[in-house]
Amino acid sequence: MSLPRVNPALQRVQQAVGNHRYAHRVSTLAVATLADARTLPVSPDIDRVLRAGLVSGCAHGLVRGRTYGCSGVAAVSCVATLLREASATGSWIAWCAAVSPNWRAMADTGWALDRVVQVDCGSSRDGWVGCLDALAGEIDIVVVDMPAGVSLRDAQLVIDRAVRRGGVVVVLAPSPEVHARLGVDVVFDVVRVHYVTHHAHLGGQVMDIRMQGRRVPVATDVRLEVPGVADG
Amino acid sequence: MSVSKFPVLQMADTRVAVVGLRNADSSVTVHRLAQSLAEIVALSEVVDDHHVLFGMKGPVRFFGGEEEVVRRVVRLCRHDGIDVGVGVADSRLAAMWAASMAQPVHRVPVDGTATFLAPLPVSDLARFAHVGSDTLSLLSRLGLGTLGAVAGVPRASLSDRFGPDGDALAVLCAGGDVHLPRFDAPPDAEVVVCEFDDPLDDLDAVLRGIADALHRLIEDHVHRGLVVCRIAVSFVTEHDDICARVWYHPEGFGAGALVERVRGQLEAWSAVRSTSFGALTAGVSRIVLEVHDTAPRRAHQPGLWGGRSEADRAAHRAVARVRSLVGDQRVTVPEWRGGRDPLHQYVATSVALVDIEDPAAARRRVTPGEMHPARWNGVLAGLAPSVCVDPPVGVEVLDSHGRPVAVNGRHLLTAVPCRVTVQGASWSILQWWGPWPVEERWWDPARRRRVAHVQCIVASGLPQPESRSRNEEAWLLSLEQHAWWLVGTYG
Repeated sequence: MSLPRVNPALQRVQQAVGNHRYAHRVSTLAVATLADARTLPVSPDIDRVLRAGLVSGCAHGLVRGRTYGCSGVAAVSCVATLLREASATGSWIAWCAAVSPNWRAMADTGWALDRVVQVDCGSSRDGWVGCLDALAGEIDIVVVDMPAGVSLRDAQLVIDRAVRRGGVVVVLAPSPEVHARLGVDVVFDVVRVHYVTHHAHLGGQVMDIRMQGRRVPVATDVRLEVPGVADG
Repeated sequence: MSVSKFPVLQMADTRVAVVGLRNADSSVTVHRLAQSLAEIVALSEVVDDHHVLFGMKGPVRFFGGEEEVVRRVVRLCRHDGIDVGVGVADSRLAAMWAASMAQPVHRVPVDGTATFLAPLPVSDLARFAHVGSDTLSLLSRLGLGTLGAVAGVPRASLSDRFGPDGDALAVLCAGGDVHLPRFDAPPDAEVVVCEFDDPLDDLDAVLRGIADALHRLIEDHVHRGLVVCRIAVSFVTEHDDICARVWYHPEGFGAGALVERVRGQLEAWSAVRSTSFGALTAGVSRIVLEVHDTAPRRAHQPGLWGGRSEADRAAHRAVARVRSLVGDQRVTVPEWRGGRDPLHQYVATSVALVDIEDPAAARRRVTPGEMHPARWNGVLAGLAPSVCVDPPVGVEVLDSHGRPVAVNGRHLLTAVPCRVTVQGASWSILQWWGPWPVEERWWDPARRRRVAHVQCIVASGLPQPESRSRNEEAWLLSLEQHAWWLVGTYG
């Protein structure tokens, strides 16, 4: 029923390969995008953290089609810092987690709130699955947690489907064990927070983070400073 | 033998009824409403995410009068658990407005549409007629606050000032319709028929089939400088079950948005019980697309910076879809309201109440000082809590002797706080800042508010400042009406 769509770039590559002397060895040809070209930007401090944990030569930034996890005592602040550059440079964020973020704190961190939408998926499996399916791939970054009514297998299936469509999924979980069971690629577990006093107020946070996950070969401890009023 | 006369029925061709969803119940979508109405009307038109329209001519003839038709609609919706308002009028706009004020039915008299519309405020045109916020703002500044006032302005003047929007305004405010409702295909309608040799049982396969056809149809119109404003989509099974729906958008459909709507149509159809009227009982063998109405495609010149991007359009599609899944009230966006409470300076506003597709309006919504003041004296300085505890949890703040800590008239703590008890669990206070008092409306006994905030770092177990464990957290506590509350955390 449908006419095959012609991709001029693919045609050119096919012609070039067809003329090659080893052309008979090429059986299937498809357009591929390197991971470097599929990243959303991160701030320099997060870039430093990622470089410390990931294998050298890997793409840095938030790679589309990967899952990231945050857990520990300051998981929401960690998410805010992780996504601030992507948000500020034009990415859309859907917040589907049950925890209610303070948008003033997110704006202070650097989020562009005009491209943020919060969705209350409810606690049922169908609601959660439906929302994620609707948002994934269309919205650049989706922040989720796992409601009690959703099984681990369902969550894995839905998150896998979401990242296959090219989205970045950030999973909020109470502990890194949940992330491990979900097979999250990169996990930031906030193990300790140091608080900075500024003019007799709580002025900033410095997080000690253990970075682990499927794509982190060796668990790595890094320190991350959350921008606050003390930074001016 | 007496010969009884047939009753005289009101059968104006343009007489339409609009059924509007009234409840924010997330499980009831416009797709389910349209599917329910299929029991009474052969073909209905989905106007937006809350309204379904149908022509009265056929049903009035069949059931014997407008009253009987709307009575049956209300009864049917009640039976299906859908809370609706039904408006009947001579134009789409008037019927939508009537549906919004119906209890549960509001009928505008025949030929009384212009009179009905005259006192209504122009601000609601954004909700019912997709009129841009800039146009509405300008109308208000020109002193044209009601539809009657706009209708009094010569059409040429409106057209001069507002361009094509002015023409549309003149028609709408006079009780007309830019695109007249119609439920039969025009003689020159473009029809696309997709036949399947093997009927498709899988809805995803049906959707893939129609998605391709819709993309080609829309692209074909775009190449001709047109957009599709109204399209009828019909699915026919090998048992001749039919699910037909008309989709309408005054500014024209994009292919993606139309596919999403059709997905809803299919899902609602498949959810009908097999024993009920109009159920899906076999594989889909034929899809028919009929273009009922088109409009000239307006040139869209995105700004050099800050215009709408493809990512924006994709996000808007996703938001539209998730709204239809969970309901408008559960899809929210942040909006700056200001105030001295650090947790509620941004509030969550339903996405149905704001324009997320206009980048300028979205920026105004979240920018302090644009719509609400930016600076609030007395607001808590320093780092804002990252998590709102909603609703706040009652806590007890105790000193080293286990006595409650309070704030005196000089805004000082009565003792050094040492412990916090939350729902039976005890936390040690390692460090604290405050209290930061806020006294609001002290001159008004009914609305006066006196609150004191305290920031503190707490740890579970006994106080051990020298060896901080990972259970250490930072909280924002507030004292109001002699009670302490945990209102936010720095988690």
